[in-house]
Amino acid sequence: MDFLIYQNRILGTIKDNWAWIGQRSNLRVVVHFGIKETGEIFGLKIVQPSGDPSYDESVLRAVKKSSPLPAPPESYRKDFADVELTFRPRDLGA
Amino acid sequence: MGFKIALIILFLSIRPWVASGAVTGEIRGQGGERFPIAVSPLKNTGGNTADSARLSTGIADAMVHDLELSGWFKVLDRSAYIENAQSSGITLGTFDFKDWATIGAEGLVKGGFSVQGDDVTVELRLFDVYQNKERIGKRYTGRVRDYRRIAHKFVDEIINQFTGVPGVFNTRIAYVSNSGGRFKEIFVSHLDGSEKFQVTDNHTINLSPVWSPDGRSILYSSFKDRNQTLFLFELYSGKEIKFTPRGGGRYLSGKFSPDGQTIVATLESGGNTNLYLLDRSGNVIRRLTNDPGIEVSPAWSPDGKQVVFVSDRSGSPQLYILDVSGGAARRLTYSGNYNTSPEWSPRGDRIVYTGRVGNRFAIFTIPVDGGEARKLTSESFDSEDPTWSPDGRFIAFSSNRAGKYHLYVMQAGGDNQRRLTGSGGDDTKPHWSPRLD
Repeated sequence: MDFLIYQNRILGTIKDNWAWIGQRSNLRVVVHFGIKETGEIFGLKIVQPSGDPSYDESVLRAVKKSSPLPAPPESYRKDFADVELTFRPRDLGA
Repeated sequence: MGFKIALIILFLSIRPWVASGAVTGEIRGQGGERFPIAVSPLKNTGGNTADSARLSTGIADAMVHDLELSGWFKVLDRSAYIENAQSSGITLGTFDFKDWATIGAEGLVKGGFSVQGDDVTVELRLFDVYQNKERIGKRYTGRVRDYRRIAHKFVDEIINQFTGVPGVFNTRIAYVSNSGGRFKEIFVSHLDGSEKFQVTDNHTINLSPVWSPDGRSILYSSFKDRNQTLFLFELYSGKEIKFTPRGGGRYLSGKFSPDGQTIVATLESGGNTNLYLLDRSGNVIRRLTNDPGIEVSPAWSPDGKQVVFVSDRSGSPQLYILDVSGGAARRLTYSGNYNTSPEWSPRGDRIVYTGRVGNRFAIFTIPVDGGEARKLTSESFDSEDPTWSPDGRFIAFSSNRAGKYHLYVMQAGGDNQRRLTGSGGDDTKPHWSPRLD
């Protein structure tokens, strides 16, 4: 329960900090990072680039902007030290 | 054989590190954040002119208005800008991107203008602050008094750059207003209210203005000759044609087909209303409905093959779809007991309409093949008369949420509802023009 609540919270925060308006909807970038027990983000890197540098940059900025996140629940600190997120764009016309 | 082995090795080496994180997740589409963009006042690159200050901030202000209206951008407050717009450069390498990155800008619009008599030349550029690159560069010339149109055109380019489809800011809206008193007259203006032009001035009631697909004429309904009928007014020549029904009766409203060659009109005759297909001069080509009930408010599908309209044949006003070539109409709406004013999306997939909720009117969209309607506006006030932008990404409508009826615009999903007009009277019946030159 705590795990899901915390996971949703950090996903929501990062999503809210993400600004990108691009032409393509078939992009996909995967990033890896860890969350310290203070909530600080460390070791942010791109695992799979999308091929569009401005898209990749926008995702890195969104994650950096979100640090520090709320502190992870004590019993899941280990899990949240090892996070992998996939970012896909939304169709602007929707 | 050797080729096959090479392929396998390649596959193995592509992902030497297969393990994914302990926690994985997916984020699809950005959330609340809009794209942060700075729009610098323009630099006067020509000689001294009395219009200098007005053009420098006026063109920037018009671009800011459009970018905010789109709902996709957050325009950074001008008071936070570090550099001096008149002393720093407007081309790549002649200004410092750091000044813009520092304040959080990810996009930057810069430009210059020079005035020659009544004409102005405007150069505008969009920069990517993060990558230190120029994304768009354009040069426009026009009349000084039309400077806002240049701004609208460049924002349409910016939106094209970001979304792959040009924006819709170089367009106009036709609407009805009683701002001049108790009469209802027809006006057209840009989305920001500029270049307002009064189409009718006959001190009667004028209704239901619609654009011709070439953007050159307005078809509207008027009581100016006592009996209500349709008039076709050419904006550039001032020429007007009156539509007179041959067999008597009165035309209540009409809409141009997408090819501009025909008009579907509502004819009231002997207490009965039906839909008719007319040519551009108002001659009847064919009767489309033959029903004892009321058939009104028609609108075309973008391919010109079907018409959505309102009929009370089931006992309450509901939306129906008809093949123009003939056949029975198909009922589209089943929820609500008062649905009216349909408009077909230029994308073809949804129909927007006004529906009654309790004792209020709200804007809904529904898929063309039926299915669940989506309510886009709140029922704590009235919202009516929806009209699509030419790209189908926005809907304009009229609403009394601020007391009087004003025109508003929102994204097609209902987000970012913003007021367009504030004439002091009631502004109603908006109709969005096609893209203009």
